[in-house]
Amino acid sequence: MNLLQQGAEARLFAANFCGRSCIVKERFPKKYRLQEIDEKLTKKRLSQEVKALQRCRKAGILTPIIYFVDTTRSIIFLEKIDGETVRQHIVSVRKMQEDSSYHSIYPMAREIGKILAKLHDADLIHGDLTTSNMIIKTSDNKLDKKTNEIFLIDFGLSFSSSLAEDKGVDLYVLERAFLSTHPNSEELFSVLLDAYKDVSKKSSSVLTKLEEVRQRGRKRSMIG
Amino acid sequence: METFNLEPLLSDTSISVALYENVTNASKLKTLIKDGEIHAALIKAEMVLDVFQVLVASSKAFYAKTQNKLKTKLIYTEILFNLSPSNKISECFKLFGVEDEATCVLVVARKEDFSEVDKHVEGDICPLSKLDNLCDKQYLKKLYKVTDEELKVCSLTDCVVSQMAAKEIR
Ligand SMILES: Nc1ncnc2c1ncn2[C@@H]1O[C@H](COP(=O)(O)OP(=O)(O)O)[C@@H](O)[C@H]1O
Ligand SMILES: [Mg+2]
Repeated sequence: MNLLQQGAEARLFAANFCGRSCIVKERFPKKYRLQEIDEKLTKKRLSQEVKALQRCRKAGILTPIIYFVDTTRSIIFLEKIDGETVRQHIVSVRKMQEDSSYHSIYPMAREIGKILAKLHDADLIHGDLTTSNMIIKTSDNKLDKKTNEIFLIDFGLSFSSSLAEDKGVDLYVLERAFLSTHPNSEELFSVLLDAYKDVSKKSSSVLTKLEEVRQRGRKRSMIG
Repeated sequence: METFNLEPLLSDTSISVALYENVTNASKLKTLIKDGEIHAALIKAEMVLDVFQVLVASSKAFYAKTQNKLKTKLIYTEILFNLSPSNKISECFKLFGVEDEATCVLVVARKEDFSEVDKHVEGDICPLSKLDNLCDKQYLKKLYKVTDEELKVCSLTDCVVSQMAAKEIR
């Protein structure tokens, strides 16, 4: 197994599982937390991840297949998605083109908006939406850009809820992630939200909440 | 017959998987297994979409053995249990175990045990790719509660495998 990434909560390895490439995600204990609490939290994250991966796929959202789960060692084997994260994709597209607009990736933003609408309509909250937690699968057929598919990953903080407030916060977290990692991406994010509106059956209350959460955020930053 | 290494969980274990048709002595084989004369799992071939499904169930079973965490008596019964979407042990034998009159049987054994098992099977060995024709896709779709939405984004085998791997987590 090759170490791919050492994160704050988990190590990721690349491996071969019975002939298929897979990602091994191992959550490890955090030294600064009380051992007992830590074990409980780690177990909870793993089980939330597994449940959400399954529920998302059942709702027609692309997520990696689960090959193996070991709750004792907090290890999960997932299908490896060949491609790059949305974050990497945005950065590389910006580097490649002359002007600094995001126009060429509006279709991708729309696709993400649709996926999140599906997610929230199924009463699932991701809990950690960032452009690193989405992978664009590179299509086998490079000429046909439409077949690029976006997978959601990293569901350790997910939970189920039908509350507009939770969905609004989910979108707010993503908005913050977009704006802080991708400069001047306000318009790109609004394209995403438009697609969310078009697809989601309950978008109006969610977007109202999003606006409320934004204002709370602004107030907080004015005080802080 | 094909042999597979169970890496990365158990890179020192390899298993052989073989599909037989026109089997005439399924009940005898079951007795031999019960008596510990041969070491193998006999699986109802109609219940397997692809050999990968069996590899996932087997990896989990052989690994559980190394961790002293078998939920059933033997690695071979554990493979049947792991194939099942349900956590009820009795149910998995009915669903995945072979009946006395079975004619299509999938055999899983350790690589080193396989030739001994093969000697006892009265039937015609055939390529594993034949599973695709033999399996009951509609029934499996229902059993594993695969939705139509899910099939738009994922193959039936992959849906089933993921459901198997996730079944203990509720
Ligand atoms: N199934 C997968 N296929 C391909 N790459 C993956 C997969 N899962 C994770 N990765 C890569 O590893 C990174 C970290 O994984 P993630 O599950 O987000 O863990 P963390 O909690 O450490 O962020 C992702 O941003 C992605 O680049
Ligand atoms: Mg992540």
